[in-house]
Amino acid sequence: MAILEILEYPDPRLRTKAQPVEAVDNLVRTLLDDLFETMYAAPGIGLAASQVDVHKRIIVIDISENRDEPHAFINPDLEISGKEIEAEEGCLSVPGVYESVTRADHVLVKALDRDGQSFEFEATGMLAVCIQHECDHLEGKLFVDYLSSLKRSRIRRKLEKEHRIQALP
Amino acid sequence: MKTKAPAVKVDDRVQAARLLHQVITVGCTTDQAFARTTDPISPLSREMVYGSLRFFFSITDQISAVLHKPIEHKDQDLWALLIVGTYQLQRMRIPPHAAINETVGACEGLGKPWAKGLVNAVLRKLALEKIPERTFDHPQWMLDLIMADYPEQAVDIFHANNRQAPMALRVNRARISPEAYRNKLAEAGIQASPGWLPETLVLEAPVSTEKLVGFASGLVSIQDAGAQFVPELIPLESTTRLLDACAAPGGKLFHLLERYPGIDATALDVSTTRLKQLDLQARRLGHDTFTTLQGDASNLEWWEGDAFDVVLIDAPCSGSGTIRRHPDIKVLRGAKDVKKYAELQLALVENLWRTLRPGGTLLYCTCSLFAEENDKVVNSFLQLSGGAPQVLEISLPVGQATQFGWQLLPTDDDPKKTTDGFYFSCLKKTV
Ligand SMILES: C[S@@+](CC[C@H](N)C(=O)[O-])C[C@H]1O[C@@H](n2cnc3c(N)ncnc32)[C@H](O)[C@@H]1O
Ligand SMILES: [Zn+2]
Repeated sequence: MAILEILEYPDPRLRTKAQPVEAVDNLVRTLLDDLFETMYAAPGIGLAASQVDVHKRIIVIDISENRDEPHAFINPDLEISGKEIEAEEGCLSVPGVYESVTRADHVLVKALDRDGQSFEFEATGMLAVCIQHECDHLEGKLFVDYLSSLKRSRIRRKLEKEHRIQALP
Repeated sequence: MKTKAPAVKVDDRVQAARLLHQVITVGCTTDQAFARTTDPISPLSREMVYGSLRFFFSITDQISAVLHKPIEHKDQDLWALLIVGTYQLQRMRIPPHAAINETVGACEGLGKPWAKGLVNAVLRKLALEKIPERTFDHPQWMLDLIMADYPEQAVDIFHANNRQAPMALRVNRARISPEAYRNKLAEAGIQASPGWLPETLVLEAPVSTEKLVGFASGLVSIQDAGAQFVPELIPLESTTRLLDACAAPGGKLFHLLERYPGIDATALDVSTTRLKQLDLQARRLGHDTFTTLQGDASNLEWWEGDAFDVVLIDAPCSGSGTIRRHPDIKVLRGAKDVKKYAELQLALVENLWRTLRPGGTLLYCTCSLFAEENDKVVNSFLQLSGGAPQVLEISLPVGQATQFGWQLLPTDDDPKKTTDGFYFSCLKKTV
């Protein structure tokens, strides 16, 4: 297992659209393990393969307090319903930024599990929000895209500055 | 995705007092209280909550003895803070002045700065007192029941209940061999020793699940070593039709599926929330060959009429065998609960017996120490049903025989071999 490097906004690679996984093989399973390890170490509550520069449709999530309810979704397909809810989101690719985003309260996910079996999963509340956030990554979309362009460019400048500082010898 | 870390870290004592308050005044279990908290729970406040519950009875006696008048109903959070403070003072390696100052300071965090003088006075008095030596820290009704059921072993049981249980793992042999998994643990710097069964590993020191290698990918589950004996007691064949009548969250069911792949298993539980947990664990472990039913095992509305070869009843119970892991049981449960559980347990056995084919076996188990939920339930069932059930003789490498089954006790001090308290009884339906 390995902790992978997480791309940070405004890295253009985060804008890549992810491709469906054709076969759930050992490579995919190893990637799942690494995604979990990276997410737990960060620590975060969700991570998409796109964020570690692997442009396959794979996301992992664990929003539990005890960190013992891991969810893995391969080729997730979302059906969104329910009322709208507003929640404060952050993203491992946009460190230090937390903003309110409005999303649907309910999702039905069809996906493959780590054995390549298909399953359906229903979620509400924070779990539903997190699933939508991660699936956005697979489309090259980030939660900052929901904010005003003013806010977004302020965040962009802030992170670019931090990256310049980090790059200093 | 990431959620915001709380801006200011909640003080450990304040957090511990609030959590303990939830348990002792509101009446939730520690698990519920922890799950409801949105702030991350620090290891220190976790230990303070568990420790305070473990020694709840002697600590509250001591505090009551030095208080001039009882704490008012609206200030029960202060009562909880006093308990947490006393636990720290007497049983943790925290220097007394630090324990007192920090606890006094926590009055601010609870929004009751006026109570500082009171907390200070109580803790200073208790700092001078010796820890009561012979205290078993159980409610009287529990002392009575355990002494009646285990006259020789009662004292050992009381002490064992106040120790901390080791963290035991069950390696998913459908995915990895126990040796290979142990090597993976070693690589990650986690030391484990073999337990009673090949798939059992016992950790030298507990780790959080996120650090447990391969947990998310289903290589391993967390399960007490005693709970892992179920597949030993009911050897299954690949064609066996099994009903797990109280299945959620699925620990024993998944163990059976890992040991006996291919069995035709049905998982039943009344609780939809708990069935969701089962579902999640099934996906984590890669088990998808069983059927799930939501229904009440004390009636037959869910049953389609095809008899089962084996029925497992891991009955809802007082949990008195798991006090090491859930010391809140000592504070929350009463003698009446045991009676209620016993009634439900008998109803479950009676009802599910009808779904068993002639020649089939029923395994009844609980994580209770009380005969009232164990042998006495089996005895009542035998009385009611005439000669038809035959009690099968069972034995395990630990524990002791009872009239109708086998009892595990938490009394073994070897951390590698110790188990929670469990009861098993195996009944065969004669043709
Ligand atoms: C001791 S737990 C089972 C643990 C599980 N076998 C395992 O190993 O993970 C008891 C379960 O019985 C369920 N239960 C309680 N009353 C029930 C009933 N009348 N019918 C079916 N299930 C019931 C509870 O929801 C609970 O999940
Ligand atoms: Zn993100």
